[in-house]
Order: sequence, then C-alpha cells, then structure tokens
Amino acid sequence: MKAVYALALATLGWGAAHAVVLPPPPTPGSAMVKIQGGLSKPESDRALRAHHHKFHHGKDYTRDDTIFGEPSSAPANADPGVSPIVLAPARPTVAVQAAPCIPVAAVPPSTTAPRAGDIAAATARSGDRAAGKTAAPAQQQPTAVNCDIGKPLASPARPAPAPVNKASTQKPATTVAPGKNS
Amino acid sequence: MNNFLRKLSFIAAFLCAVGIVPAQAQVAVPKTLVLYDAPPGTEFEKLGMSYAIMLRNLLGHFSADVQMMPVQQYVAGAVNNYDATFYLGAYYDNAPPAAFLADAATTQKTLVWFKYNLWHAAWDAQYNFTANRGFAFSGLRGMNTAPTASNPNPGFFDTVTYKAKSFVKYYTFDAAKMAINADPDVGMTSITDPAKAATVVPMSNPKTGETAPYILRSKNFWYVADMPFSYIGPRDRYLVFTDMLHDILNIPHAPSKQALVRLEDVGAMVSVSAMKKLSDYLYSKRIPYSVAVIPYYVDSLGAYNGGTPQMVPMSQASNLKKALNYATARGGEIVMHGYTHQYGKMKNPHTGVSGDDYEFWNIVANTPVAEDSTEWVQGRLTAGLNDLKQNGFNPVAWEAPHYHASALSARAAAATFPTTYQRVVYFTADKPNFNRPTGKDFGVGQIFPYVIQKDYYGQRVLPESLGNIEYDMGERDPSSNYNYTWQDIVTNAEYGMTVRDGIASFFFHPFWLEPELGVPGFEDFKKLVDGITRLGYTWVAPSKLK
Repeated sequence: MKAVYALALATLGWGAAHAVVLPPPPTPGSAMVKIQGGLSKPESDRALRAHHHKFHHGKDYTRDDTIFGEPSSAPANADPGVSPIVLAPARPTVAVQAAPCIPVAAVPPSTTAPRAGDIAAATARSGDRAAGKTAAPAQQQPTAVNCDIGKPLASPARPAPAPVNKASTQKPATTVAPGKNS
Repeated sequence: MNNFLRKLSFIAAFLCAVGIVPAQAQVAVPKTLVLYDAPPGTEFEKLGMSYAIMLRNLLGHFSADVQMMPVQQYVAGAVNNYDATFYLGAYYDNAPPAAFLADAATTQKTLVWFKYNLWHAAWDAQYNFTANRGFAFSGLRGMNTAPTASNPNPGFFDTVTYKAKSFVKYYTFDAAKMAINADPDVGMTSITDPAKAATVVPMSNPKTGETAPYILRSKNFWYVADMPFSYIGPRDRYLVFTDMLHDILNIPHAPSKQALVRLEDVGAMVSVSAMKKLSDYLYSKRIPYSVAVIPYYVDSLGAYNGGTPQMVPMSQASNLKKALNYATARGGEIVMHGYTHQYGKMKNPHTGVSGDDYEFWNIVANTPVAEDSTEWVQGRLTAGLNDLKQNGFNPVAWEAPHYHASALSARAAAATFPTTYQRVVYFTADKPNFNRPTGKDFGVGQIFPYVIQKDYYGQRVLPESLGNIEYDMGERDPSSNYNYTWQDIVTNAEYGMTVRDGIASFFFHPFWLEPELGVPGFEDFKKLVDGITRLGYTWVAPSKLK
C-alpha cells in the first residue's frame, strides 16, 4: 500500500513538473535540420576514397622502380649509423639487383600455409562466402602481370565504382520531427 | 585505516609541495557518470547514446571510469557517487526525471549540462536556479530565420572563440531537399551575478553581431550551449570541448606538442622509389614515422589485372618487403592496416582491390559483412600478423581499413593489438539497424586530438587528427575528386594547438610521388612536414606515445 502511495505521489510530482515548465519555442527552420552525430560529411567522406590510380593496372610488384625508374635521392646523411634517432640497427637492405620483369605465374607459390580467416574471395569457388567458408589465397597460382610498366597503359578496363549506399552510417537519413530538433 | 590514509595523504601532499611528485600524478582516476536522453518510441531514441559514446571515449584520455545510462534511469542521489556527471541534453524537451533535477540543484560534485532541457531546471521556481547559479537561461536560438534557396545561410551562433581562434560550426543547406545539414540550436544564457558565474568560452552570431556564453561555469556547474559531438571536424568547436575537459575534470595535463606522420596503404604494389625517397627524407630530418602495411594484396575481380583475379601474399611481395626493410632501418615503425584491405569478390565499394575497399564493413549495404564475428575477424588479424612476423616485421599498432569496422571487429582488434591508430566509427549496436522508424541505430565517426587510453570498444587509440594530402584526380578516378592541400593540414595543426596536449597527426600516400600522376607530392609532403615542425611540434614514433 505504501508503495502504491509512493508511486502515486511520484506520478503526481512528475506530472506537476511537466505542467509548470513549458519549453521554449522551437527555433526557425528546426524542422529542416538534419542531425549528424560525429564527423561532418567532408570528414567522413575523406575515409571513403580509393587508394589506387589507373597506373596500377598490370603493375609488376617485383620490379623495383628505384632501378628501372627514378633513382632515390638519398641525402648524404642517410647512413643509419649517424642518426641521433634511437633506432634499431639498420637491417641489411636487400641487395639491389636488376631483377628481371617476370610474369607472376613464374613466381613460386607461397610457402605460407593456408590459414583460417583467409579471404573468401581468394578462390573462385562459388558459394564459399555464402556458406561462411574461407579459402586460402596462397593456394591459387598468381596470374601473369603486365611487365610493360614503363609505357602508358592502353585504356584499361577499369570497372566503374559501385554506387555507395547514401544512407551510410556517417549520414543517417534523419528527418527531424517538428519541434523535436534533436 | 582512516588514520593511515590521512598520513598517506599528508605525505603525498608534502612530496607534491616540494616538487618530488608532479601535481598531475596526484589526480586519481575520475569516476564519471554520463547521462543521455533516450526517449523511447522515437526515431532518435539512440542519438543521445551515440553522443554518450563519444564523450565516453574522450573521458578515456583521462583513464576515467565511465558509467553510461539514459537519464530516465537516474536514481536519486547518484550524482554524489561520482566525481563528475555529464548530462547530454540531446532531445528537445525530454524532461529529466525530478530526482535528477533535484540533485542537480544541490550537488557539490561537478555537473556538466549540454544543450537542451535546461529549462526544466532553470525555469522551475522550486530550484531557485538563477539566484543560486548566478546566470539565467532565456531560451533557444537556432537559425536567425529559416533558410531559403535565395537566402541559403541566414546565419546562427556558429562561431566559438577560444585561445584567439575562431571555430566555425559546419553548415550546408540543400535547397532541393530543403534540408539544413548543421546543428544550429544553442541554449542562451546570460550572467546575472559575476561573483557566481562566468563565461569560460564565448560564441557569436556574425550575422547579427550578438555574443553569448558557449561554455559557462558556476562553481561546480558547467553549461555547454550546444552538443559538441555533431558535425565535428579538425577545426570544429569539438576541439574546444576536448581541451576544456581538462579543466572540467581538474586534470591539468602538462602542455605538449607532439606530432605523428604515417605513410599509408603500403602494399605489394608500392613504389620502392617513392618509399625510399620518403624514408630518406624523414630519416635525414631525424623524424620517426610509421608505415601502414597491407600484408596481403588481393584483386579479387581482376580490376587492375585485365579481369583476372590476382593475389600477392607477402612472401612474394618483393617490392613491399624491400620498401619496408628500407623504412624500418630508418625510423619507420609498422602499423598493420587490415589483412587485405578489401572484402571478398565484390566492389566494396570501388574495385575489390586491396587499398581501395573496406574489409570489415559492407559499405554498399552499410552493414557488417556477412561473416562478421569475433572468430572471423580474429582469423584475419592473426593471418595478417603471421604474414608480417614471418617476414620480419612486428607491427606496433592496428589501423582498420578506411577507419571503418564493425563493433565486433573493433573489439577483436583491441584484443589482438595493444594500440589502434586511427579515427574510429562507433555504433549504437553491434548489428546496427539504421533504418528502423523508431529506435534506429547511429554510427558516428570520431577524431581524437590526443591519446585515448581506452575507448568504447576497449581500444587504446592513437590519434590521426589532421587528415591527408589529396589531389583532384576526378577525371581518372571518380573517388579522388577533391584537393586537400598541405596548407589545409598545417592550418588544422594550428587549430590543434588549442588542445593543451594535442597531437598533430597526419598520413600520406606514397603513391603521390609516382611520376605518372604529375602532382607535386614529394614537394608538398616536405612543405607539410616543415610547416608542422615550424609550429613547434616534436615528432614522435607511435610506439613512444604515452
């Protein structure tokens, strides 16, 4: 009984608080406001950008462009031994050799054992991803690459980017109800 | 026991007074309560929670103990159990419970009130608010008038002035949709008794010439006129609040100016020449740096390989290993940047190629990926770590591709790596639904100006606070369609100096040095490094940041 009485008092008190304090009026245009928590659109879009350019078409990832292209202009004091920065001793750099441009197919397959968690996309077995299975990319023989990196590539068939879902988390499609300018 | 504690306190105070122990070391871990609006049955039920998560993360800079709860669940007397309580008034006229209003009127503990609903305390005679607090609340202000196509920005209180800098709030108007993309509403207050209250940070309305308090303080009570977690950016008033938190919590971290630079998206297709140039330059300047490495290159659709899928494990990525060996011998630290930095056999959203696409989020459907689970993520993280370690590289941190990963992924990263190094997107649910008519979820991206010791997902987060150089290559690449200059980033760093222990942190893509692109990438990189150095920042390695 006491609990019911207390609840009734609390309810009355709650109602009274609402009754005596009226909110300030909503601001002009508040119904038009779209709230976006977190990053503004320019900042959230910054992360969406792709990180390749068309010159990566057919790139030979074994061809050191320091050798074939523009040389590195190492400063005179680039000797690791003279740096005041506290660094681990420089590892021996891989000997600079004019590695021939070889098709990727000639590269021996990875010795890395297949692992759980390797990407599903790596092998071309249809239905793998849908089935929740994973596959080991290392098992697939790499394909040949275009070694002719020095020349401009002729109109690569780069797929157009897929449309991005505009209702992203960065910008929820929020329509603010009149008077509820949250 | 009490006697012992008193003696201990006395000894500590003595040591501090004689300078043996820095004053900062005396501040205990603050215990904080974050209350937020969560009006049930509304579209924006979870919006307040998203703000609470962001605030919770910032409190992680102070290693605070944080409890979050909807304000409606407040229990009488609770404020007195915490060093500081924050109430996020995110929803117009969501009346706080009477128990909270009563406690807010009497507590001597720190209480911070944001934006809406202060009228329930200030306009209720029983609290004698104005006389007690020394300031009056007069109402809300938003847009000066509703915008139209012919008058798209009528103005509002959009400028916050702090440490001689103007922080202008984000605003755009979409005339076609008649939509205001901004958060213009502010609570209007005025000081009535300067002995009791003071404006700490002012704001202004440039179109009308008016000024008003943005942050004001009355003893233990703080009022922030808006919600500093919406539409944030590197020059936004959000930074002001991140700095003010030191004063609010009375944890005055020593001023410092540290800087970080990271070479980004370095995978099998990296240009050795570009990496050597950048490594040599940074090394010549005695600047430690990091390299964000994608261990496994995948082009699942053959987008860059004539339609034939291509995979390059690290064991075969000779240029990558050569570039990393060169960098690590010259001050470069390794950050693991995804496993493949793409997802499956789909364009997510660009090409299905490493470096282009999202890995731990389906950005096309805007959902977690189908396989999203702790085990699946853990498998990929472990695979990437193994690849790096088997080739002689030990990453010091994790960075999610495109800074965007599911909640489960973020937690798995926290369990695998001691440090995460990025901006972060936070979700109000592990499997969020952004389209529910009521109680829909939110995902909010957050920049940090300083180290967060523990965020909402359990990650220790190093900041990336400034952005990166971009060139408009829109004719070749529709996704690369804007310029962001080295001057822009230096300006961001200038704003970052308003945060007393702010870290200037940016990243750079080495591919901008590739001559085919025809952009002054290397020259701009050097100007940027020089510009930040001239501001007085000291460059540090990620592993050395505390």
